[in-house]
Amino acid sequence: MSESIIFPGDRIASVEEYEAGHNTFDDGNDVRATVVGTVEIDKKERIIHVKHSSVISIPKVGDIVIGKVTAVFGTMIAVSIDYINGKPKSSHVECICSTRNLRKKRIALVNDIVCVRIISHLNGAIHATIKEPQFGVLFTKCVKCGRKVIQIRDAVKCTECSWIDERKLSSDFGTNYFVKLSEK
Amino acid sequence: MGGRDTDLVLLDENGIRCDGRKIDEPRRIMIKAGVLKNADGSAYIEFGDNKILAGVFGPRDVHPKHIADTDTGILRCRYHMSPFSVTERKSPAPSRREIEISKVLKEALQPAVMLEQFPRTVVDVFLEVLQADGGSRCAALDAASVALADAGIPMRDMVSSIAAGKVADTIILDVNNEEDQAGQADMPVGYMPNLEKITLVQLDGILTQDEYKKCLETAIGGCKLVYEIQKKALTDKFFSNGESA
Repeated sequence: MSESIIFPGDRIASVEEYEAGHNTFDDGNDVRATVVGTVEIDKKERIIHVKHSSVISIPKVGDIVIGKVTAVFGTMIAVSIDYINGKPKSSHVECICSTRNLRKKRIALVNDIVCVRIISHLNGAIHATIKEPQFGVLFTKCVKCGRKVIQIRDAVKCTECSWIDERKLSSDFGTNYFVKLSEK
Repeated sequence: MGGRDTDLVLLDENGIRCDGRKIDEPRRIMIKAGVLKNADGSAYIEFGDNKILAGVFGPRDVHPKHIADTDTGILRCRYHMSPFSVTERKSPAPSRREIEISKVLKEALQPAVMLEQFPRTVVDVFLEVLQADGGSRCAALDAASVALADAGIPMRDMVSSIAAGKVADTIILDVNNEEDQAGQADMPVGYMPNLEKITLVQLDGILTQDEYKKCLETAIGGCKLVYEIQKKALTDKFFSNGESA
Protein backbone atom coordinates (compact mmCIF):
# COMPACT_ATOMS: atom_id res chain seq x y z
CA MET A 1 0.00 0.00 0.00
CA SER A 2 2.64 2.48 1.06
CA GLU A 3 4.53 1.99 -2.20
CA SER A 4 1.58 3.24 -4.23
CA ILE A 5 1.05 6.43 -2.19
CA ILE A 6 2.11 9.42 -4.18
CA PHE A 7 2.31 13.14 -3.51
CA PRO A 8 2.02 16.23 -5.70
CA GLY A 9 4.99 16.40 -8.03
CA ASP A 10 5.95 12.72 -7.73
CA ARG A 11 7.04 11.20 -11.01
CA ILE A 12 4.76 8.32 -12.00
CA ALA A 13 5.92 7.44 -15.49
CA SER A 14 7.53 8.77 -18.62
CA VAL A 15 5.34 10.51 -21.21
CA GLU A 16 6.54 7.87 -23.67
CA GLU A 17 4.95 5.14 -21.55
CA TYR A 18 1.64 6.65 -20.44
CA GLU A 19 -0.60 9.66 -20.92
CA ALA A 20 -1.64 11.91 -18.07
CA GLY A 21 -5.18 11.25 -16.82
CA HIS A 22 -7.13 12.53 -13.80
CA ASN A 23 -5.11 14.35 -11.15
CA THR A 24 -1.89 14.14 -13.16
CA PHE A 25 0.02 16.38 -15.52
CA ASP A 26 2.92 15.96 -17.85
CA ASP A 27 5.84 18.32 -17.58
CA GLY A 28 7.13 17.48 -21.06
CA ASN A 29 9.18 14.50 -19.89
CA ASP A 30 7.31 12.77 -17.10
CA VAL A 31 3.76 12.17 -15.93
CA ARG A 32 3.49 13.54 -12.41
CA ALA A 33 0.81 13.55 -9.75
CA THR A 34 -1.02 16.73 -8.77
CA VAL A 35 -2.67 15.45 -5.58
CA VAL A 36 -2.02 13.02 -2.74
CA GLY A 37 -3.43 9.65 -3.63
CA THR A 38 -2.91 6.25 -5.15
CA VAL A 39 -2.02 5.44 -8.74
CA GLU A 40 -4.46 3.75 -11.07
CA ILE A 41 -3.06 2.60 -14.38
CA ASP A 42 -5.33 2.00 -17.36
CA LYS A 43 -3.05 -0.35 -19.29
CA LYS A 44 -5.49 -0.71 -22.17
CA GLU A 45 -5.74 3.01 -22.87
CA ARG A 46 -2.25 3.63 -21.42
CA ILE A 47 -3.47 6.43 -19.16
CA ILE A 48 -2.45 7.08 -15.57
CA HIS A 49 -4.94 8.41 -13.05
CA VAL A 50 -4.48 9.32 -9.42
CA LYS A 51 -7.29 8.46 -7.03
CA HIS A 52 -7.86 11.04 -4.33
CA SER A 53 -10.49 11.08 -1.59
CA SER A 54 -11.39 14.77 -1.26
CA VAL A 55 -13.22 16.45 -4.12
CA ILE A 56 -12.83 20.15 -4.84
CA SER A 57 -15.91 22.30 -5.22
CA ILE A 58 -15.71 22.85 -8.97
CA PRO A 59 -18.16 20.69 -10.96
CA LYS A 60 -16.89 18.48 -13.75
CA VAL A 61 -18.52 17.89 -17.11
CA GLY A 62 -21.53 15.62 -16.63
CA ASP A 63 -22.13 16.57 -12.99
CA ILE A 64 -25.69 17.43 -12.00
CA VAL A 65 -25.79 20.59 -9.92
CA ILE A 66 -28.46 22.41 -7.97
CA GLY A 67 -28.21 26.09 -7.30
CA LYS A 68 -29.86 29.44 -7.02
CA VAL A 69 -30.46 31.65 -10.05
CA THR A 70 -28.39 34.81 -9.54
CA ALA A 71 -29.06 36.58 -12.83
CA VAL A 72 -31.41 36.25 -15.77
CA PHE A 73 -30.29 37.53 -19.17
CA GLY A 74 -32.01 37.44 -22.55
CA THR A 75 -30.75 34.01 -23.57
CA MET A 76 -29.06 32.66 -20.48
CA ILE A 77 -29.29 32.37 -16.74
CA ALA A 78 -26.48 32.40 -14.17
CA VAL A 79 -26.66 29.83 -11.40
CA SER A 80 -24.75 29.91 -8.11
CA ILE A 81 -23.97 26.28 -7.33
CA ASP A 82 -25.04 24.88 -3.95
CA TYR A 83 -25.04 21.12 -4.59
CA ILE A 84 -22.87 18.99 -6.86
CA ASN A 85 -24.26 15.48 -7.44
CA GLY A 86 -26.37 15.88 -4.31
CA LYS A 87 -23.45 16.90 -2.06
CA PRO A 88 -23.55 20.39 -0.53
CA LYS A 89 -20.75 22.75 -1.56
CA SER A 90 -19.85 26.09 -0.06
CA SER A 91 -17.76 27.42 -2.94
CA HIS A 92 -20.78 29.08 -4.64
CA VAL A 93 -19.08 29.17 -8.02
CA GLU A 94 -21.38 30.18 -10.84
CA CYS A 95 -22.30 28.43 -14.05
CA ILE A 96 -24.17 29.83 -17.01
CA CYS A 97 -26.99 28.04 -18.71
CA SER A 98 -28.18 28.83 -22.21
CA THR A 99 -31.94 29.24 -22.61
CA ARG A 100 -31.85 30.21 -26.27
CA ASN A 101 -33.91 27.39 -27.80
CA LEU A 102 -36.45 26.97 -25.03
CA ARG A 103 -39.77 28.34 -26.22
CA LYS A 104 -40.77 29.97 -22.99
CA LYS A 105 -40.96 33.59 -21.99
CA ARG A 106 -39.72 32.93 -18.47
CA ILE A 107 -37.34 30.03 -17.94
CA ALA A 108 -36.53 30.94 -14.34
CA LEU A 109 -36.41 33.99 -12.15
CA VAL A 110 -33.72 35.31 -9.84
CA ASN A 111 -33.66 33.31 -6.57
CA ASP A 112 -35.38 30.29 -8.11
CA ILE A 113 -33.69 26.99 -7.30
CA VAL A 114 -32.80 25.07 -10.43
CA CYS A 115 -31.24 21.78 -11.37
CA VAL A 116 -28.87 21.73 -14.38
CA ARG A 117 -26.20 19.49 -15.88
CA ILE A 118 -22.66 20.72 -16.60
CA ILE A 119 -21.77 20.38 -20.28
CA SER A 120 -18.44 22.18 -20.65
CA HIS A 121 -15.76 24.42 -19.25
CA LEU A 122 -15.25 26.99 -21.95
CA ASN A 123 -13.47 30.37 -22.01
CA GLY A 124 -13.19 30.44 -18.25
CA ALA A 125 -16.90 29.84 -17.70
CA ILE A 126 -18.78 26.74 -16.63
CA HIS A 127 -21.58 25.99 -19.08
CA ALA A 128 -24.67 23.99 -18.20
CA THR A 129 -27.84 22.77 -19.86
CA ILE A 130 -31.40 22.91 -18.59
CA LYS A 131 -33.04 21.34 -21.63
CA GLU A 132 -33.68 17.78 -20.48
CA PRO A 133 -36.95 17.01 -18.61
CA GLN A 134 -35.32 16.37 -15.21
CA PHE A 135 -33.59 19.76 -15.35
CA GLY A 136 -35.27 23.04 -14.63
CA VAL A 137 -36.86 24.86 -11.75
CA LEU A 138 -37.18 22.90 -8.50
CA PHE A 139 -38.54 25.72 -6.39
CA THR A 140 -40.02 29.10 -7.18
CA LYS A 141 -42.47 31.64 -5.78
CA CYS A 142 -45.21 33.76 -7.26
CA VAL A 143 -43.76 36.68 -9.19
CA LYS A 144 -46.67 38.91 -8.13
CA CYS A 145 -47.18 38.23 -4.41
CA GLY A 146 -44.20 36.02 -3.47
CA ARG A 147 -46.42 33.22 -2.13
CA LYS A 148 -46.36 29.48 -2.74
CA VAL A 149 -47.05 28.16 -6.23
CA ILE A 150 -48.30 24.82 -7.51
CA GLN A 151 -47.60 23.12 -10.80
CA ILE A 152 -50.19 23.21 -13.56
CA ARG A 153 -48.81 21.33 -16.55
CA ASP A 154 -45.83 23.42 -17.78
CA ALA A 155 -46.70 26.45 -15.67
CA VAL A 156 -47.07 27.43 -12.05
CA LYS A 157 -50.10 28.92 -10.34
CA CYS A 158 -50.07 30.98 -7.17
CA THR A 159 -52.11 29.50 -4.35
CA GLU A 160 -53.00 32.98 -3.07
CA CYS A 161 -53.48 35.32 -6.04
CA SER A 162 -54.02 32.61 -8.72
CA TRP A 163 -51.46 34.22 -11.00
CA ILE A 164 -50.30 31.76 -13.65
CA ASP A 165 -46.74 32.06 -14.82
CA GLU A 166 -44.34 30.19 -17.08
CA ARG A 167 -41.21 28.34 -15.93
CA LYS A 168 -39.04 25.56 -17.31
CA LEU A 169 -40.03 23.14 -14.58
CA SER A 170 -38.01 20.10 -13.63
CA SER A 171 -39.72 16.73 -13.45
CA ASP A 172 -38.58 16.84 -9.80
CA PHE A 173 -40.39 20.13 -9.13
CA GLY A 174 -41.52 20.21 -5.52
CA THR A 175 -40.17 16.73 -4.77
CA ASN A 176 -36.96 15.15 -3.58
CA TYR A 177 -34.33 17.78 -4.42
CA PHE A 178 -36.45 20.57 -3.06
CA VAL A 179 -36.90 18.70 0.22
CA LYS A 180 -33.11 18.48 0.62
CA LEU A 181 -32.65 22.17 -0.08
CA SER A 182 -35.42 23.22 2.28
CA GLU A 183 -33.66 21.33 5.09
CA LYS A 184 -30.52 23.39 4.54
CA MET B 1 21.32 41.81 10.50
CA GLY B 2 25.03 42.05 10.03
CA GLY B 3 26.37 40.88 13.37
CA ARG B 4 24.76 42.90 16.11
CA ASP B 5 26.91 42.98 19.29
CA THR B 6 25.69 40.42 21.78
CA ASP B 7 26.96 38.48 24.79
CA LEU B 8 25.32 35.34 23.43
CA VAL B 9 27.74 32.79 21.96
CA LEU B 10 26.04 31.91 18.69
CA LEU B 11 28.54 29.24 17.72
CA ASP B 12 31.11 27.70 20.07
CA GLU B 13 34.52 26.23 19.19
CA ASN B 14 32.95 22.74 18.84
CA GLY B 15 30.53 23.96 16.19
CA ILE B 16 27.55 23.85 18.56
CA ARG B 17 24.99 26.62 18.27
CA CYS B 18 23.30 28.65 21.01
CA ASP B 19 20.39 26.21 21.23
CA GLY B 20 22.62 23.12 21.20
CA ARG B 21 22.19 22.22 17.54
CA LYS B 22 24.94 21.38 15.04
CA ILE B 23 25.42 23.74 12.12
CA ASP B 24 23.46 21.57 9.68
CA GLU B 25 20.76 20.47 12.07
CA PRO B 26 17.21 21.82 11.77
CA ARG B 27 14.95 22.41 14.76
CA ARG B 28 12.30 19.85 15.68
CA ILE B 29 9.54 19.87 13.06
CA MET B 30 6.06 18.44 13.54
CA ILE B 31 3.29 18.82 10.96
CA LYS B 32 -0.30 17.64 11.26
CA ALA B 33 -2.70 17.85 8.34
CA GLY B 34 -6.47 18.25 8.49
CA VAL B 35 -6.82 20.01 11.84
CA LEU B 36 -9.63 22.45 10.98
CA LYS B 37 -13.10 21.06 10.31
CA ASN B 38 -14.49 24.11 8.51
CA ALA B 39 -11.57 24.62 6.13
CA ASP B 40 -11.24 22.72 2.85
CA GLY B 41 -7.65 21.94 3.81
CA SER B 42 -5.59 22.71 6.88
CA ALA B 43 -2.35 22.03 8.65
CA TYR B 44 -0.64 22.77 11.94
CA ILE B 45 3.11 23.07 12.16
CA GLU B 46 5.51 23.25 15.06
CA PHE B 47 8.86 24.35 13.72
CA GLY B 48 11.10 24.73 16.75
CA ASP B 49 9.09 27.11 18.92
CA ASN B 50 7.05 28.41 15.97
CA LYS B 51 3.44 27.30 16.11
CA ILE B 52 1.40 28.07 13.01
CA LEU B 53 -2.04 27.12 11.73
CA ALA B 54 -2.82 27.12 8.02
CA GLY B 55 -6.30 27.02 6.54
CA VAL B 56 -7.14 26.73 2.85
CA PHE B 57 -10.52 27.61 1.35
CA GLY B 58 -11.47 27.13 -2.25
CA PRO B 59 -11.44 27.17 -5.16
CA ARG B 60 -14.47 29.34 -4.50
CA ASP B 61 -16.37 32.32 -5.81
CA VAL B 62 -14.32 35.53 -5.84
CA HIS B 63 -15.44 38.52 -3.80
CA PRO B 64 -15.18 41.31 -4.81
CA LYS B 65 -16.08 40.00 -8.25
CA HIS B 66 -14.06 42.54 -10.20
CA ILE B 67 -10.78 40.92 -9.10
CA ALA B 68 -11.73 37.61 -10.74
CA ASP B 69 -9.50 36.58 -13.63
CA THR B 70 -11.28 35.00 -16.61
CA ASP B 71 -8.16 33.05 -17.63
CA THR B 72 -7.00 31.66 -14.31
CA GLY B 73 -7.80 31.35 -10.66
CA ILE B 74 -6.19 33.66 -8.15
CA LEU B 75 -4.34 32.88 -4.97
CA ARG B 76 -4.75 35.03 -1.89
CA CYS B 77 -2.53 34.63 1.09
CA ARG B 78 -2.93 36.16 4.53
CA TYR B 79 -0.08 35.80 7.01
CA HIS B 80 -1.09 37.06 10.41
CA MET B 81 0.59 37.06 13.79
CA SER B 82 -1.70 36.67 16.77
CA PRO B 83 -1.44 39.35 19.47
CA PHE B 84 -0.06 36.69 21.84
CA SER B 85 2.48 35.23 19.38
CA VAL B 86 5.35 37.37 20.65
CA THR B 87 6.49 38.46 24.13
CA GLU B 88 5.00 41.95 23.88
CA ARG B 89 1.45 42.27 22.60
CA LYS B 90 1.34 42.68 18.86
CA SER B 91 -1.41 44.78 17.38
CA PRO B 92 -3.78 42.51 15.45
CA ALA B 93 -3.92 44.99 12.59
CA PRO B 94 -1.82 43.90 9.60
CA SER B 95 1.66 45.38 9.90
CA ARG B 96 4.00 46.29 7.05
CA ARG B 97 5.95 43.09 7.74
CA GLU B 98 2.84 40.90 7.65
CA ILE B 99 1.67 42.45 4.38
CA GLU B 100 5.11 41.83 2.88
CA ILE B 101 5.25 38.22 4.08
CA SER B 102 1.73 37.59 2.75
CA LYS B 103 2.89 38.76 -0.66
CA VAL B 104 6.10 36.76 -0.51
CA LEU B 105 4.27 33.57 0.50
CA LYS B 106 1.70 34.05 -2.26
CA GLU B 107 4.47 34.37 -4.82
CA ALA B 108 6.26 31.34 -3.37
CA LEU B 109 3.15 29.15 -3.62
CA GLN B 110 1.89 30.40 -6.98
CA PRO B 111 4.31 28.41 -9.18
CA ALA B 112 3.20 25.20 -7.49
CA VAL B 113 -0.58 25.63 -7.57
CA MET B 114 -2.34 24.85 -10.86
CA LEU B 115 -4.67 27.82 -10.74
CA GLU B 116 -5.28 27.78 -14.49
CA GLN B 117 -7.68 24.87 -13.93
CA PHE B 118 -10.06 27.13 -12.01
CA PRO B 119 -10.71 30.38 -13.86
CA ARG B 120 -12.81 33.04 -12.10
CA THR B 121 -12.23 31.46 -8.70
CA VAL B 122 -9.99 32.13 -5.72
CA VAL B 123 -7.97 29.94 -3.40
CA ASP B 124 -7.56 31.58 0.00
CA VAL B 125 -4.69 30.60 2.26
CA PHE B 126 -4.87 31.85 5.84
CA LEU B 127 -1.78 31.55 8.02
CA GLU B 128 -2.10 32.31 11.69
CA VAL B 129 1.09 32.48 13.71
CA LEU B 130 0.22 31.37 17.24
CA GLN B 131 3.79 31.53 18.50
CA ALA B 132 6.76 33.06 16.69
CA ASP B 133 10.41 32.15 17.05
CA GLY B 134 12.34 33.20 13.94
CA GLY B 135 11.83 31.56 10.56
CA SER B 136 8.06 31.82 10.77
CA ARG B 137 7.69 32.60 7.06
CA CYS B 138 9.39 29.31 6.17
CA ALA B 139 7.27 27.40 8.66
CA ALA B 140 4.14 29.13 7.33
CA LEU B 141 5.07 28.16 3.77
CA ASP B 142 5.55 24.52 4.80
CA ALA B 143 2.18 24.49 6.54
CA ALA B 144 0.45 26.23 3.60
CA SER B 145 1.81 23.66 1.19
CA VAL B 146 0.50 20.76 3.31
CA ALA B 147 -2.87 22.51 3.72
CA LEU B 148 -3.17 22.97 -0.06
CA ALA B 149 -2.39 19.29 -0.62
CA ASP B 150 -4.90 18.40 2.11
CA ALA B 151 -7.56 20.43 0.30
CA GLY B 152 -6.92 18.42 -2.86
CA ILE B 153 -5.95 21.47 -4.87
CA PRO B 154 -3.87 20.35 -7.87
CA MET B 155 -0.20 21.23 -7.44
CA ARG B 156 2.82 20.77 -9.64
CA ASP B 157 4.86 19.97 -6.57
CA MET B 158 4.92 20.56 -2.85
CA VAL B 159 6.76 23.63 -1.64
CA SER B 160 9.21 22.99 1.19
CA SER B 161 10.96 25.82 2.91
CA ILE B 162 13.68 26.44 5.43
CA ALA B 163 16.18 29.20 6.08
CA ALA B 164 19.95 29.03 6.02
CA GLY B 165 22.20 31.77 7.33
CA LYS B 166 25.59 32.91 8.47
CA VAL B 167 26.65 33.04 12.06
CA ALA B 168 30.24 33.59 13.26
CA ASP B 169 31.39 33.34 9.62
CA THR B 170 29.85 29.88 9.34
CA ILE B 171 26.92 28.82 7.15
CA ILE B 172 24.19 27.26 9.26
CA LEU B 173 20.85 25.58 8.57
CA ASP B 174 17.55 26.77 10.08
CA VAL B 175 18.18 30.14 11.68
CA ASN B 176 16.45 30.61 15.03
CA ASN B 177 15.34 33.89 16.57
CA GLU B 178 18.65 34.68 18.34
CA GLU B 179 20.67 33.87 15.22
CA ASP B 180 18.26 35.94 13.14
CA GLN B 181 18.69 38.94 15.44
CA ALA B 182 22.45 38.70 16.02
CA GLY B 183 23.73 36.67 13.06
CA GLN B 184 25.38 37.93 9.89
CA ALA B 185 22.89 36.72 7.28
CA ASP B 186 19.50 35.02 6.94
CA MET B 187 18.31 33.39 3.73
CA PRO B 188 14.81 31.86 3.61
CA VAL B 189 14.44 29.47 0.67
CA GLY B 190 11.32 27.86 -0.81
CA TYR B 191 11.95 24.82 -2.99
CA MET B 192 9.96 22.34 -5.06
CA PRO B 193 11.85 19.09 -4.36
CA ASN B 194 10.62 16.97 -7.27
CA LEU B 195 10.88 19.63 -9.95
CA GLU B 196 14.08 20.97 -8.35
CA LYS B 197 12.92 24.55 -8.68
CA ILE B 198 13.27 27.41 -6.25
CA THR B 199 10.15 29.47 -5.55
CA LEU B 200 11.49 31.76 -2.84
CA VAL B 201 14.87 33.25 -2.06
CA GLN B 202 15.33 36.20 0.23
CA LEU B 203 18.58 37.37 1.70
CA ASP B 204 19.03 39.64 4.64
CA GLY B 205 22.74 40.24 5.18
CA ILE B 206 25.91 40.12 3.17
CA LEU B 207 27.45 36.97 1.71
CA THR B 208 30.31 36.37 -0.69
CA GLN B 209 29.56 34.44 -3.88
CA ASP B 210 30.93 31.22 -2.38
CA GLU B 211 29.01 31.74 0.83
CA TYR B 212 25.83 32.45 -1.13
CA LYS B 213 26.24 29.23 -3.08
CA LYS B 214 26.90 27.20 0.06
CA CYS B 215 24.04 28.87 1.88
CA LEU B 216 21.63 28.00 -0.95
CA GLU B 217 22.86 24.40 -1.09
CA THR B 218 22.47 24.09 2.67
CA ALA B 219 18.92 25.46 2.50
CA ILE B 220 17.98 23.13 -0.36
CA GLY B 221 19.32 20.18 1.64
CA GLY B 222 17.13 21.35 4.54
CA CYS B 223 14.08 21.69 2.28
CA LYS B 224 14.48 18.03 1.32
CA LEU B 225 14.37 17.10 5.02
CA VAL B 226 11.23 19.20 5.49
CA TYR B 227 9.65 17.56 2.44
CA GLU B 228 9.91 14.13 4.08
CA ILE B 229 8.08 15.48 7.14
CA GLN B 230 5.39 17.05 4.93
CA LYS B 231 4.91 13.72 3.18
CA LYS B 232 4.60 11.93 6.51
CA ALA B 233 1.93 14.41 7.66
CA LEU B 234 -0.12 13.80 4.51
CA THR B 235 0.34 10.03 4.72
CA ASP B 236 -0.92 10.11 8.32
CA LYS B 237 -3.94 12.15 7.24
CA PHE B 238 -4.98 10.17 4.18
CA PHE B 239 -3.73 6.67 4.80
CA SER B 240 -3.91 6.02 8.52
CA ASN B 241 -6.95 4.46 10.30
CA GLY B 242 -7.77 2.44 7.21
CA GLU B 243 -8.75 5.54 5.26
CA SER B 244 -7.53 5.50 1.71
CA ALA B 245 -7.43 8.02 -1.09
